[in-house]
Amino acid sequence: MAVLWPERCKGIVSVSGYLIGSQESGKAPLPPNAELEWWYQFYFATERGRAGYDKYWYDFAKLIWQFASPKWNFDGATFDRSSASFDNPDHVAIVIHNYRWRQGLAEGEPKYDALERRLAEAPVIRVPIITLEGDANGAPHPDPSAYAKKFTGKACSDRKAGKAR
Amino acid sequence: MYRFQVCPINDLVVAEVADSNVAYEIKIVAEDGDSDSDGDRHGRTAHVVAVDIINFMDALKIDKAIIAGFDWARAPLTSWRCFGRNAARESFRSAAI
Repeated sequence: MAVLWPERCKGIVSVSGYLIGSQESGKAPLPPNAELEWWYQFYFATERGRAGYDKYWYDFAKLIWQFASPKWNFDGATFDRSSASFDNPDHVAIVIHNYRWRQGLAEGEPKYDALERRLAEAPVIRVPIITLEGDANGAPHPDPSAYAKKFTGKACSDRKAGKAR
Repeated sequence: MYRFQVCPINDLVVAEVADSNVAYEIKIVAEDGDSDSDGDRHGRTAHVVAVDIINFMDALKIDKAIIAGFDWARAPLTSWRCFGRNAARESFRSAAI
């Protein structure tokens, strides 16, 4: 929104800062411990991963909640309220496409190519921004110093915004 | 994105779509592309959601808004879809926005 339609944004509040992915950035290898956090991306790149997610999507998503959430101690009922939204005939295909696209293994939806090209340039964001980063973020995320220069308008950040529950 | 809050520039809060249905419907459309289509499903949801937000703002005659994005505390407007609406809501709360 802030890149494509800045005239429609009074400002943005962005958790974990600047996170515009692209197929080009997806080519860059990461240090091993960071790659480990992305294990499912490699899994989804394979037919075994697609079949595995199709078969075990419920357990898979619960596992991701356990690893990637900000240390939530969620109960089964809480998880079930969300996981019900995964139980639809499109879910697996959409997830697999998303992760394969990131690695350049699948094409994007052509009608969004023009938008994608602009985003892929990783342009700076000029609208005012508040960035937030939790102190218990279990998911892969960049250090705030990595994206500070991406914001050229008024900006502030809060490192402790998301405490573990 | 689950908690979709629209704050026009000239008023403190004119429209607040604070709970599930509207934003969640946006999510469904984003996943599904053309809702009755049998075509390929794609995961470029960030684009779809962004276009939907612009259309949504147009429909409400909102010129500018403050846009907040998150996903666990991760990729705003992208893979929040993978983790579900309550995850997003809880993440939103934990971010103390």
